Order: sequence, then structure tokens, then C-alpha cells
Amino acid sequence: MNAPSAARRLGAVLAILLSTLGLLMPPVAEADSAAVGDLHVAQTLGGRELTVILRRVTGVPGPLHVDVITHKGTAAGRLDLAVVPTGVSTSASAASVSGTTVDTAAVALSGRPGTCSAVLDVTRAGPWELSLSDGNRTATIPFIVPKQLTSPPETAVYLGFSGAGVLLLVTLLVAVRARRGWWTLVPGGALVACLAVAVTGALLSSRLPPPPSQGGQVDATIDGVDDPYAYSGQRIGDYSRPPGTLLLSSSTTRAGEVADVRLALSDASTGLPLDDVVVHDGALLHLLVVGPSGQLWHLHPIRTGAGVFEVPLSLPEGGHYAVSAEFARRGGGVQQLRSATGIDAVPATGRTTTGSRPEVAARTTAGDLQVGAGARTVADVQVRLSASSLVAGQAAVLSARVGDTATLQPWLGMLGHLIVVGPLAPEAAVGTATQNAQVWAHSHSMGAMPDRTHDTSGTDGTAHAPGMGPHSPSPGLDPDMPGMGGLTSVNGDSTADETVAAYGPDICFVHTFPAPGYYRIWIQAERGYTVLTVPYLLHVTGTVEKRP
Amino acid sequence: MSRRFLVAAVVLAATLLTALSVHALWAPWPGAARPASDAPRGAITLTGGTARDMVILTVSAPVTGSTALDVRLVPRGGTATGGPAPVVMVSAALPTAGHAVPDCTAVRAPDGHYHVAALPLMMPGRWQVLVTVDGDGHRDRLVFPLNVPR
Ligand SMILES: [Cu+2]
Repeated sequence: MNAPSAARRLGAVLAILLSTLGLLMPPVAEADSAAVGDLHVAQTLGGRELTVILRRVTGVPGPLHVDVITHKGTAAGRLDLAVVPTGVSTSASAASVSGTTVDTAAVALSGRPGTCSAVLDVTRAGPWELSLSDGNRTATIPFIVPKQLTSPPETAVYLGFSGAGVLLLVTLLVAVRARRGWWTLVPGGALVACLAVAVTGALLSSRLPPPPSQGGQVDATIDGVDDPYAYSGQRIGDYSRPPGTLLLSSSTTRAGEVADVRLALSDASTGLPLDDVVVHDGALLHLLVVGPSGQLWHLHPIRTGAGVFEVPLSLPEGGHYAVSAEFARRGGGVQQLRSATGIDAVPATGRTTTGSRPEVAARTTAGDLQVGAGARTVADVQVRLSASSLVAGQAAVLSARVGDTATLQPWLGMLGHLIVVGPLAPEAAVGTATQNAQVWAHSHSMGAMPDRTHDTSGTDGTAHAPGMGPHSPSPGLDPDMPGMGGLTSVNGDSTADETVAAYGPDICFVHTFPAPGYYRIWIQAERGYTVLTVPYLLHVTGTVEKRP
Repeated sequence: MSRRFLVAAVVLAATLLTALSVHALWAPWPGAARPASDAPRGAITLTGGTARDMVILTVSAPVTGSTALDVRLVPRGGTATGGPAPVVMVSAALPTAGHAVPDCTAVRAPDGHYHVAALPLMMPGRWQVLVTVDGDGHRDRLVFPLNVPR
């Protein structure tokens, strides 16, 4: 056996070994630092409660699919949509059309609940605004058109593996053809180098922190969205911004008339308009209004200017209405602001104009409420609530069965919403009591509890209303699965929207009431394209015994 | 002879490794400042726009301290309307720190230029330069994100 053939054999073995190593390397995930799923934004546009879904843009220039979901009672009509790029750039050509309308589309609302779609063209990655107009009002929704990105370590992985692939062929070729076997080591060595680069990149890519999210953590620019690594700036751990201040345009209105409530948000430090609200829980801003006899409005005012949100509100009776707003600023952190004034409605002098007021989802009138959980019928749907351990400082479990079939629809990305106000005097006017209540909480449900809680819920004395039979297993609901599949985003996938009526009927909330007393709660869930709002009055006792 | 090739292979491999690492890991991280051709050295020019104007902001010294600013309005559709020239106000805020600077009315210059002599950017960070254009019955507010390095 002569030397060249031995070396040749060595080269071949080396090549095979390395190719095996290459095959064994874990596949590198697609770069997804800017990967965002669909953007769901609830909008109370005039008398309509709409859910606007901006489907993810997968390439630019390309289409932006917009779905508008209407609810029961949403009036037929036409919406005009437009997209405007809003970014700034160091390149004059990239920002040349910023501020101008690039594309428009019209959506015909049929009057039946469901989805209406439109497609608009977006020309480049960066910050944009979608505007929706019903002819009277125009809502603007800021959004980011992302760019497919590769992080530097991932670039290293791609370059390394492609280099290794090419060099593998070269090594094989040299091993077979070269007269001197040592030549094989030249491409072989380079192959090892390439693999080393790729492996280093693969190891680094999971460890290096991603650049700050454009639009989510820092103000987005065209350049930043194009290359967030280059424009990441200083890496600070905390991107949070000061809290906001909520100003209501007018604190008095006339009952029975539609009044445009204008909310101006400003930065609590600088006093400047707070114009960096990001979509949180499926809306830019969640407005909660509690009326004198326990009505709850859960609305989503439209953005009409820098830090300005507007919503038409028709207050049915004279009295005090408490107001709170929830939103998240860029940089993180949700905040709840309670209006210090609320709204006072003076009783209508003449006839009331109840017939002309726009029908908005999530509205209810609460009559006299009995204390405790139990059954209620709202919009022909029976809702049964059971509550266990209603003790201050202990986690109370509120389990509601909404209807009898697994046909709940996720509203604002959640199966159930729970609003808690208290402690308050149970017989007091609710608006005034809410204004002065220490607790104004908002909690969510992602489905039923795993079976243990559900089984024990029946033992609670308040759970069984007369005539309420044992819970029958609902079709399509796996008893082991609480039924929240598709509601949480995995790897930036899109979550189920409201058209998926396959959840429930059990929704469960866990909430710790901080102090004893009476609490008003409202449970909200969507079924049949109607948002049901179910009021209850609960009594939370003090701690039963002092534990040593 | 064969040893020489071995050495050559190792050297080649090392060179390739270094070159690839340097390229892949460091090349996509350039400095953020990319000055425009007609701006002062070190200046940064940002273009944004409203429905009425293209707004070009030049920050002379985008570093900690006071800086001069130039705002240029290029009306969309070519020529400006015959009405009075718009009023341009400039301010700045550092949202994460809750800092703001006083409003400055920019001094009008020919060809749609507006000047601010000194805007104090006291701290490093991600500032917002706020430009308000008042004219023709409209008020447009534009935010130019500006990274002020340490
Ligand atoms: Cu909401």
C-alpha cells in the first residue's frame, strides 16, 4: 500500500465523516426577530363594534390582507380603508412617500355578522398606519410591516454551511483526482473551518439578545425595521416609559343623547401627547364605563390624533358614570387609568331618544341583582356562575358556564373577561360607587379549569339555581383539555380569531379579592357574534381564621 | 514536502475561519450615523413626510449637547401654495427618561428651510425630535426618532 492511496482513503473518510456531521447538525430556525403574527384590533367606530385583523405581511412590496369582523347588530354599510407609510429614514428615497396614502380599498359590510375582507398593497417595510372611515369618523391604527431578517450569527451559520457544502465537493474531488494525497487536507481544512463558523453561529444565535423590537420597544423607523441590528442603538434593559394621564373632554353630558367622548392621553412626565400606544389584548385602548344602575360598557375608542381617542357614547339615564382606560405604551407595561372626574349625565329634559342611539356590543343593563353567583339569562343565553372561596386574600375561583355548547368565540384574544369593582355599598348607585371603589380589576379566562376545580364547583352552595341540572358533557370538548388550543401564539403563529366558535362553554377565572366587602363583577364572553355581559354582585368575607 | 502542505492547509483554514467570522459577526453592525452629502460633517439627515410636505430634518451634531437643526419643507406636488409660509416648531423629548426640551420656533430661511440654532439634547438615548408644521389651516406633527450615542 503506497502513501498516496492511503492519504486518498484518509481524505475520503474525512469527507464522509464531515458530511455526516453536517447532516447531524440541527436545522437552523428561520430568523424571526421581527416575526409578528396577525394584529387584532377592536374598534368602536361610530355605532359599530368591529374587530379589524391585519394579517401578517409576508413580503414587500406585497398585499396586506385586512379582515373586518362584524357582530350581531352591526349596521350594514361601507368602510373606506387606506394605508399610509409613516416612517422616517436617512434615505430620502425610502421615505419619499411617507405621510401619503399609498393604497385604498373599500369594505362592504353586509349587516350579517361575520368577516368582510379587503386587500391593500404595501410597498415597503417600516411603520405604517391603516385608516378606516365610515364616512363620519376615521380611525387610524399604527402597525409595522416587518422584514424577513437574518441575525449576524445566523448569517454565519448560512455562510458556514454553504461554504462547507461547496468544500465538501471540492474535498471529494481532490481526494479522488489529486496525485498527492496531502492536497486533500487543503479543502478538508477549509471545510472544518466553515463548519466551525457555522457551529459557532448556531451556538451564538440562541444566546445573543435580539435587537429591541421596532415599534414594540423603541420608536420604529424605516431604517430600523430594515436593519434592526444596525439601528439597535444602546442596549438598555428597560425600555419602559412613564405612566400616562387621562383627560376626558367633558365631564358632563346629557342623558339620552349621543355624545362623543374624547380621551386625551398625555405623558405624565413631559405632558406631551402620549402617542406611542401599542396594541394590547386586541385593542389600542380598552374603555370601561360603569353606569348608575350597573351598566357596563367595554368599548374600544378609535385613535383620531396624537394621543387622542374618541368614542360615541349614549348614556341612557341621568347620574354618574365611572370611566377607566387600559392601554400599553411602547416599551412595555400595561396601565389602567381611572378618570378622576368620570362623566355626569344630566337627566334628559324632554323625550328620550333611545330609539336612535347606536347599538354597540358589550352593553347591558343590570336590574336588581341578588347577592351571590347563580344563573342569569342574557340575550337568550343562560349563564351559570359558581364561585368558591370568596374570602379576602384567598384566590377565588369563578367558574361560569355560558350556554350549553362549546361555541364560545374568543373576544379580544380571550374566552372570557372579568371586570371587578369594589368593595362598595351594594345598594348605592353603581357609577358613583365605582368612582370611589378601591378595586377596579380586569382579569381574563383562557377556558375551563382542569377537571378538579370544575368537579368541586358544584358543591358550592350558590352554584345551583333551581332547576339547574347536572352539567352534561358538551360535545367536542375533551374533558382533559381546558380548550384553549389555538388561542396562544406559538412561534409567532396566528391565533384563532372570532370566527372560530369552538370554545367553552366553561370559562374560569381566578381572582384574589384584596379586601372583604361587596363587589360588582361582570363576566363577558362572545357567543353567536354577540358579546354577552353578565353582572353579578358577590360578597367577599374576611379571613375566616387567623393562621398562626 | 508533505508537511509543507499540511502547514499550508492549516494556515488557509485559519485564514478562512478568521475572515468568515469577522465578516459574518461584525460586518452587519455598522455605526448608525450615515451623513448626507450636503450636511455638515457628522450630521444626520432624516426624511419624513405628511400628506402636504416632505419634511427633511438635519441634525448638525447628533451627540450629547446642544445642536443646530435644519428643517426643510418640500411641498408635495411641486410648488408651495400662495398662502403664508407655514410656521415650524421644533421640540424634543427623551421618552424613557421623561425629559423634554422647550419648544423652539424655527427661523424661516429661503427655499423652504427653517433653522433652529440650539436644541439641547442633554442625555444620550433614543430621543424624539418633534416637528410641528402649522400652515394652511392644518397642523401636522411629525416624530423623528434620533439615537444620541453616549
Ligand atoms: Cu377591551
